[in-house]
Amino acid sequence: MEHPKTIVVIDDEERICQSFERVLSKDGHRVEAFTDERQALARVFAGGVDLVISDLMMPQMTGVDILKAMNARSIKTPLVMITGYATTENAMETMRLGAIDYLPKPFTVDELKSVVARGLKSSDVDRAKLPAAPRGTFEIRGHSWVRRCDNGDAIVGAHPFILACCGRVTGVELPMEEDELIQGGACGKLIVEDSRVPLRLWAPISGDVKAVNGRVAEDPALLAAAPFTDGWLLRLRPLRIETELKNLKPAE
Amino acid sequence: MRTLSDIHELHDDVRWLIRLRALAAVGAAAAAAVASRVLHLQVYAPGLYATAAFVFLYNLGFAWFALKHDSHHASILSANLQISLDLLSLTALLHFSGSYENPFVFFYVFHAIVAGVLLTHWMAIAQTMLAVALFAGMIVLEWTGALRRWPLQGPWGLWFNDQSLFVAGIFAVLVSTLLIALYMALSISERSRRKNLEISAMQEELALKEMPASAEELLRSEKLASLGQMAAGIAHEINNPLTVVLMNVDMALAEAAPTDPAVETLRIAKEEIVRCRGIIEQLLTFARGEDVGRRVYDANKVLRDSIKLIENYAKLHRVKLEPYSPDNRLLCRINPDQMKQVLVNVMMNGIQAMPNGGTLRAGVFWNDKDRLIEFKVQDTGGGIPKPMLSRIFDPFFTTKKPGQGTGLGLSVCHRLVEINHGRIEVDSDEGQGTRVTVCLPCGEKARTRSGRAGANATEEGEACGTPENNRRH
Repeated sequence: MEHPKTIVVIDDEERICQSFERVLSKDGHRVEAFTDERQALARVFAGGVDLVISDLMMPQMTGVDILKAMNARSIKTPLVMITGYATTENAMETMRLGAIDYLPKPFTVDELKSVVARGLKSSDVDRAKLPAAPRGTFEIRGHSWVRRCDNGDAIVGAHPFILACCGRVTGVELPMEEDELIQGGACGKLIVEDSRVPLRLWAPISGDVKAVNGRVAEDPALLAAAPFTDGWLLRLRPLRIETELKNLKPAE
Repeated sequence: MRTLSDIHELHDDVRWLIRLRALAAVGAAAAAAVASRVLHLQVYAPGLYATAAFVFLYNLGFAWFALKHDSHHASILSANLQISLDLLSLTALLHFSGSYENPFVFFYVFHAIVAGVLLTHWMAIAQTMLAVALFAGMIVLEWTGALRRWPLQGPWGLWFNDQSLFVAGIFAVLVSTLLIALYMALSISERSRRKNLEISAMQEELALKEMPASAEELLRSEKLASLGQMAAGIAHEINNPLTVVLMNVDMALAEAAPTDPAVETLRIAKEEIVRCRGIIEQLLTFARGEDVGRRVYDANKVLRDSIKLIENYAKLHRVKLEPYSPDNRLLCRINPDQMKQVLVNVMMNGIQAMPNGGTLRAGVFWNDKDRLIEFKVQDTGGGIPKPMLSRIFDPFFTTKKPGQGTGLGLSVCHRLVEINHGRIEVDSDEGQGTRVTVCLPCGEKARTRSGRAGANATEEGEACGTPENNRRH
């Protein structure tokens, strides 16, 4: 058996911490749950942590504060944000600050396990070896990307980082033409090998779907093969791209 | 009368007049050349050329002035001066070419039109008076011999004695008059059309800002805002315990032996928790009043699903359901979960309005005239008294006994329909029953997509998997 992973859980509700401990320790992980944000942060700073799962709204420090504190010390431990009050704004901010994922409460055990598996795997992914994004690409950090076309449309796709974290994609479920997508809302699902729930992709911008990439639907391997080009997922008619691009990270 | 908001318009109008005059100056010079050189009329050509040149020069001056000054005051002054000079120039042109005999006397009309378009009523009247005075002054001065007269005559005598020349002259003047009149009428109507477009664009912009139309609307939206804050707070509080319940039910499911009868119980419990999650999410979306992620969806299916949900409730209240839906798909752009919520709410209201039983008609129709999809729900209950009809969408307004209704149902419906870009109407005849109509826009391509949608949609008719598709994160 693989050596157990250390997962730090931060939530001000005792019962939630207990549930995390029960669910994750059954999978062989070592769970250290904290209802006190400062103690938890001290534990993360101490090192040897493979994944942090943090609540967003807590009395002393918010999950965003924790992320910022980790960033300030260049701690690269992946963090998954969970929240009972999910909004587009805090989802986008959390991802911009480098969270690996964002999970609205309540979630099923399968949803949690799938996020945890992705988070743990992310440490093994060498970002430097991933395909580079072409100029003009903006991304929900490591998650999905958008690029403007000459005619004012925008194309959207899955980021190679999340593709590398989630394992082999065996299918895609995409919205239909004319569906309206909202930034931070779902823009499709990837059916992933070894996961009981599909991976939900978040739309980097709002817009109406103009076209769906049928080639990717037929051959999901195209996603990982050419994530920024032929592996695009949707073409959108953007709704308010100018303001929304500010929430995204420009590709280097 | 003009108002301050017309400043820009006046400034544009003055520029239009300047462009027009540049053409007129060239036209006058050309006409003088034709009259003296081709027709050999005894017009005073040097006078005509000098006047045309004068027009051209002051036009350049006004063009320069318009570039430098665009205040309302400057525009008014400049427009008045220009029209006066135009009248003087026209009078001079007429004086040098036959005076009152010249058929171009009608061109005073254009100056009156221009004055009417550009100036205030009184100024336009004053300019027209000036035209009359100038014309009359010219005639008097010529008669008294103070000014020399240049009769409009050729080598053959007075021009109108030559019938063919007279006809040709009148014809030419008529044609040019008609063309100029047409041009003026078109540019005036074009400008007013553009103005109307601007106004309607402005109105749309205002409508987009969702400004409450009246005090009542304002009150309603204020109540809704506090309702939204409350909902958001509640949702946040409920999501935490719900997380614990969901995780633990899931664990119990995983731990139970497959043959254990508890598995079925737990599975039902889990399904219901997931449903709660959906409801809370919608509550939050509703509270925030944001976009909802509409998608192309079959309105027939919305109706069928909603009816399934209230069938038992109707039976319990001895209400006969009469659903109607056409055979073909009716695709509209909506959030189907929200529309189901609206229909269920409206139909339950209808059923509750018939305590002694009755018939509830619920149908979906395509309104070809307005290109809308319409849900109609009609009961045979007692109807709603007129004074109450205007208040039924107000939050917390209820006619039910305390504890039986919150008064939120219809206000939530109103809001849900609104964020789906539709509208909801209620009309009622006391004693005859109530009819609720929900109108929804159809997608641009929605109508032509009927075939394809069937191929792509899953069993539930969902475009992208489960209803979770619209979950917010």
